[in-house]
Amino acid sequence: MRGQYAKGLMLTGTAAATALVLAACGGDASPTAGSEDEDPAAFYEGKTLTMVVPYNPGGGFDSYLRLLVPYLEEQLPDTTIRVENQPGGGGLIGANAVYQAEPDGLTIGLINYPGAVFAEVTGTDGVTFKSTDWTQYGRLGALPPLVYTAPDSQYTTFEDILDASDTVTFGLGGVGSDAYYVAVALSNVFDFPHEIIGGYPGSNEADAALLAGEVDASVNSGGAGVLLVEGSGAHGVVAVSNEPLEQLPDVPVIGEFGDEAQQEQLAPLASVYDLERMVVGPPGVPEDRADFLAEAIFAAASESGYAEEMEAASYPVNPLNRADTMELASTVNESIESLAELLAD
Amino acid sequence: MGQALLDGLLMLLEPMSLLYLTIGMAIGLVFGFLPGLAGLATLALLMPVIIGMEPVQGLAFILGAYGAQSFGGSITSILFNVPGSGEQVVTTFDGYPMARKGQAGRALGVSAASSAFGGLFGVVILLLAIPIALQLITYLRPPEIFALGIVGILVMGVSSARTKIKGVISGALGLMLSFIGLDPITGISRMTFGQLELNSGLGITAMTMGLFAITEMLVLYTRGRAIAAQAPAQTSGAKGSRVIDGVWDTVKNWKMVIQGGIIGSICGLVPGMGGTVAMFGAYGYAKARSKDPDSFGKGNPLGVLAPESANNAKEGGSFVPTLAFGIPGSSGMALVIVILLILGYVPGPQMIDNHMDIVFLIAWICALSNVLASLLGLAMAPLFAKLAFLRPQLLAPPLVALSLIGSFVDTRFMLSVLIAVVAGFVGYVLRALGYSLAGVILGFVLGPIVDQNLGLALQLYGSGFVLRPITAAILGLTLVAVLWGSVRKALKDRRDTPGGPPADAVAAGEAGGRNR
Repeated sequence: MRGQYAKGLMLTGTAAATALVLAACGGDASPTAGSEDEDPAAFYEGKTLTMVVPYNPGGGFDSYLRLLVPYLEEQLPDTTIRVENQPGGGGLIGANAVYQAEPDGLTIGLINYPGAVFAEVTGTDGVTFKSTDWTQYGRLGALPPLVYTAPDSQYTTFEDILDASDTVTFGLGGVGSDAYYVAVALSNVFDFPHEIIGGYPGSNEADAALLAGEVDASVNSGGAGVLLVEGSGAHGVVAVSNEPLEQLPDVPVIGEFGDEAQQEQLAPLASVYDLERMVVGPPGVPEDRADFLAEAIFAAASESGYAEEMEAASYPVNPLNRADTMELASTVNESIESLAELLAD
Repeated sequence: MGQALLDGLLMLLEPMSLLYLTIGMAIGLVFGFLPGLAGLATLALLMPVIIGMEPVQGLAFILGAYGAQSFGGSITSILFNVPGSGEQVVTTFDGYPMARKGQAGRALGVSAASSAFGGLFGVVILLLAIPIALQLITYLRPPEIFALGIVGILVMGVSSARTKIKGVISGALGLMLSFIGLDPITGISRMTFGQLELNSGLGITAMTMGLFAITEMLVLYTRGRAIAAQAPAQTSGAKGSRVIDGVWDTVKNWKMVIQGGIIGSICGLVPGMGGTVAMFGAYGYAKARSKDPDSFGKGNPLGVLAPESANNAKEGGSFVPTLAFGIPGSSGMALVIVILLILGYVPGPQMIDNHMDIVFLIAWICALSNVLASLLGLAMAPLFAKLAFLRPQLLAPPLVALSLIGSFVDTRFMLSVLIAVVAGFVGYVLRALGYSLAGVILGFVLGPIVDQNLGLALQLYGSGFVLRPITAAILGLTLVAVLWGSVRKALKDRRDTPGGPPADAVAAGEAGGRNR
């Protein structure tokens, strides 16, 4: 089918692209030497820390980092902090740039971790990173996806969808988006008649299609999905997370459905979304620096002022420290092969 | 309702709100002058500024800036062929030829007046359409948007090329270039050669900056004479070329202003249609309705009037789904949602219940900033119009620099600068050979709309989608309109000029870029 043919093409493309990039940057992949005995706090004095946003200014990712700057400056008073937008390629350009940066602890990025993992396991063109190799600094926010149906839909709960005898159509903004893979994974694990229409220009158009009755269900990240549910009367049916959504505590989480085998299949999916906005650096940053910077970021993100400003814009802040982030990520890493199966379309 | 209407106005009329509105508008007008900073970028860049502001003042500031920036872009489109944003390229089609005829003042007058009236019309629509928004969204689905895209291509296709076949080739070239990037339905990359930067295509800003701004500056520079050089120096002050004449044009053609406004507000209202369809659609409509369609592209004031009205009416329309459902009608509105959230309002029906005064405040800000920006623009227009008489040696270098910066700011890829430069030189050659750059850009911007919505329509409704009532009506009427013109012409030619060259080839030849 078309999808399979596409995959073949993509894999060939990825191999070629990876080879090119590896050839291009083979020279400067060596980690910075001689930092182990230096005081990490002293290292950051007078230096410039670059924070890469892999999306355009004004969006959610941008806001998470830009609003953090004043709080991070309090933690690192002698360090200049710079936010750099490197949008494009669905966030891959920025993620690649962070991965290939000098591993001296002076370049970090806020990436869409599930997006990066999915791009890698599905063999998307142009991925030059390995999700298992990032230097992980912590999480700023988890925006687990919410599956919702139209206000006047015959499906008002996830059970209705699972028991459906007619085809359930999912309308999504963009093939290969995070939301798209949620629909793919759910329809792969559970056995209900489905069709996935991924070609809407964006989630707004997909939401409009839902309201117009053109599709039955859609998926969006926490904040935007909650807004639509509250604004239009759409039914939130399931959250892809380990914890219920703060704003919609009554919506069940994905772990409550299916038999044991199905729950096991879906567990890594829920975990990967709980790591949504992860701060990362290139592989090989000296441990002491990574720990020092991660602590500063965690302290800054835990300030109440930061959470208030972000939540005003409907971006929930739930910082996770470095150790916990790495632990959660390791459970994802263990199941990366089963994720690949889950997302095959 | 009436109380909320009044409350909204009173909130805006407080001195501090008006002050912030004025500051916002001044910033917006400047942003509008800088290609690539217009539109979405204005909102994105100003967003951090409003954090912590009083909600009313914050809204006045940022929406004032947003309202004013589009007029800033109209000024550069008309005077220098440099559109402020991708879709505003439509304003250059007739605005710039008017400037070259020495009628820059008149063109600016048309633009300012029709922007103001269109914007006001959009506000009226905003207030009236909330109850029927869902119905409109239900009727205008991908099949209908696809049909409208086809209308755009057919009606405008063979615009200003020297021969019909060159017009078709121009449009096809634009269509082909638009297919570079990820396939919207399957996600497969097409002709990107592994360059991630090309996944989202060549970029409408880089392409318009190249094909319009840079090409034009190359032409100016090589010719060595000012934009309005062939017009007698006193023209700009003469009757028929003044700013007031443009305002009069608008008043005289009030029906077209309203029709453009309707097209614009519907495009704003339905997520997925947006500014491109609004401006191209209104232009195509004005041309199709005209008794003298051949005068379009050569400086017909209606070619400025209809799209400018539509573009400003669109903003009012795109507030409707934002307020009614919390779904933004345009990409600009997506940012407005975040702005409302930052200021403490949750967009959606509860806003209509609890904060109707804020809804009206937004309407009043849009209305007032439209009118004020136009008045400001009109006051400055005579001054700006003189720029069209400036020597190219002074004018071209800064404009080229601005265009390249604009291309870069849009995507933040150096590749976009390269694309703009290449498009500029290719555009120069194409123009010299008599191809239509308007045709290329038309294919380029409508290509993705047609491509994506055809894919969606087929997926959702199968090939029977063409039989959906509105789709069938649009496609049928277009076919009739296109064929009727040719049939009538053929009949007329047979009667009038037996054996002579076809009239349309001669007319099109006169529009060819180089000879005028």
